[in-house]
Amino acid sequence: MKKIIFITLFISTHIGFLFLHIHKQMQFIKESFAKQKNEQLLAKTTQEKQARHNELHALHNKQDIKAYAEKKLDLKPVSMTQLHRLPHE
Amino acid sequence: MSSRTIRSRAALVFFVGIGCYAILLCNLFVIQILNSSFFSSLGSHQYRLTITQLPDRGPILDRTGTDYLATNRSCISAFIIPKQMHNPEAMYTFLQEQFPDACKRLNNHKQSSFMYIKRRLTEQELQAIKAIHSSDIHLLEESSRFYPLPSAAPLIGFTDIDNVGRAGIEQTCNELLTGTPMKMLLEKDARSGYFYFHKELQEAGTQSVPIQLTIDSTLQFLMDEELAAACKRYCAKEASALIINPDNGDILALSSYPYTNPDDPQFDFYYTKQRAVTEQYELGSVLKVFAALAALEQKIVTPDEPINCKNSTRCVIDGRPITTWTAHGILPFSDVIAFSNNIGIAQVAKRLGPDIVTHYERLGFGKKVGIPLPAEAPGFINPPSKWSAQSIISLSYGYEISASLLQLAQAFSLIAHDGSFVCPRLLLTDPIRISEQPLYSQESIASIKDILRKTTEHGTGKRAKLAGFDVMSKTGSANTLVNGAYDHDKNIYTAAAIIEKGSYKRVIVTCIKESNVENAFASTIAMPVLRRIAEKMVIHERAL
Repeated sequence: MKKIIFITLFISTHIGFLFLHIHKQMQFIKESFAKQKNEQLLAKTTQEKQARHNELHALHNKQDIKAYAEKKLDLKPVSMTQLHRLPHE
Repeated sequence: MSSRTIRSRAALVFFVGIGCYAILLCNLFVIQILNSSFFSSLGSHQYRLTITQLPDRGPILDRTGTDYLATNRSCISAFIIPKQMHNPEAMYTFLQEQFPDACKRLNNHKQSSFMYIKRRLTEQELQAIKAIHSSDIHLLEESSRFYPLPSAAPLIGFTDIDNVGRAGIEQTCNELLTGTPMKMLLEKDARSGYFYFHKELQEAGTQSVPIQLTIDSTLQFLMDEELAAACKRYCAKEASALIINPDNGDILALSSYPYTNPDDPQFDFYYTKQRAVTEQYELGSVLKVFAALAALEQKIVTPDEPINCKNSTRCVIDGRPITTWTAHGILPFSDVIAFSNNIGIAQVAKRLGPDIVTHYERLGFGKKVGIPLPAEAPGFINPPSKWSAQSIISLSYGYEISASLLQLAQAFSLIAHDGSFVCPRLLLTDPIRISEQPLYSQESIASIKDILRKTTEHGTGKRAKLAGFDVMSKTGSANTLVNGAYDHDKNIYTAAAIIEKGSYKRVIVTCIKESNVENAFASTIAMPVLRRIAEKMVIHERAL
């Protein structure tokens, strides 16, 4: 009787360990997938940030800025005769 | 049923079973042992994937580090898989209407596995593709180059469709800007292309490096505006200019007009060159400065020595005819340079002899400056071994010697830096290279500076005067060689100046090529452009 109980317990314990091992592997894969999803999100966001950054610099067109300043803001280029450096005290 | 029948049937079932097992074992032997390498590689292809990640191409920045001269932007390309098209007829019709080139290519590659319809689609082309809702057309996001300051194009260069540098800084610094790809090995589920179980780095790769230039993008823009206006005003074919800080050799602006915009579909390769660096000309009288500097250094003349300029625009020296722009009588040597008299400088140069070549070489003429731009012109000095009787005379006023504007600016930087050789630099990360010992005596440098001041005060550089600044200038008008003969209708007008105020120093060189203006001289064409650039420069740099 004792022998049967021992064998049953032995097999059950091993099945239990096997189950826990599979469960651990499943959890590992699940967490790995979640990490990869976050990595992909990070890569996409970084790419979008870079694209916005590049767009911003693309808008720094000096020709357009000058045209805007002259036409919309009614500004004119400064000439040397309009400038005078104040003497140091 | 007799027991014998049962036994024979049982034996039959047994042997059929054994036979099946034998077949299975044979198959296993074939799969596991005979063809094991084939099936292992098949499995690897399904489960293992090597991905290559190329870093984004590095940006090119100006000296402030805030203004981009070249950056990246994403663009869309369209492709098809010809052998897997669901509706080939509709595709042919669409391509015939919208992309005739792609249609021709498709006719030649009907069974290919991949074909671009077009790379870097325009907004209209993209809308046209989206409008037909075809599942046969696939879109791919790619990175392309963008240049926020089109006028800097001859300097920055451009990349080809695969983002490989093909001109300018893009070409010379291609390796740094590109970086190297990173390779990763992924082990993944054969069904899912999305996730992996294991990631292994195969090649680390290197990040691309941003390139920071010594160029001031605002100054570059202001100079380009002036060159464009000058070309229009003087009906000139081309104009080039550059500004150098002689204290450290930094090239603050370097421009050629007309230029081609790399983002423009009507791309003209002729104007992709940075002509201030790649073209070499006989610059004419502007080089008298260096003949004079050589003569002063050799102590064969003093600034006050009277020189007989023969009071004529034409004369003959040693049987060789010389012409000059206007007649002068006896002038002190300093005024020979200030008034740019060819007859006067020729007489002094004859005393100098072949030493003039040594001095020109010492000033950096006849060899490349070494800035990182492709196709830099080395210039040329006619060596004494090939001289005719005319050569020493020609060399004294800028003929039989050809130089780029960059070389001219480098030589003026030597004068501005009190005789020390200053090597121009274009990359902010490059070391500053200034000769430890001055190459010319302080006495000679002071004399030549006085002569250049006189040129601005009452000589050919009068139009360079800038209130509140010490301006040392010189001009040069030269005929260009066309098919081995000098064409008097095709001239190059050059002006160079050193602008000083206290510790503030700048060297500016301008060049106008082939103007249609009648009776034009560098003093009436190139010098006013130089002055306008100088005015904008001192306001921008707050040097007032």
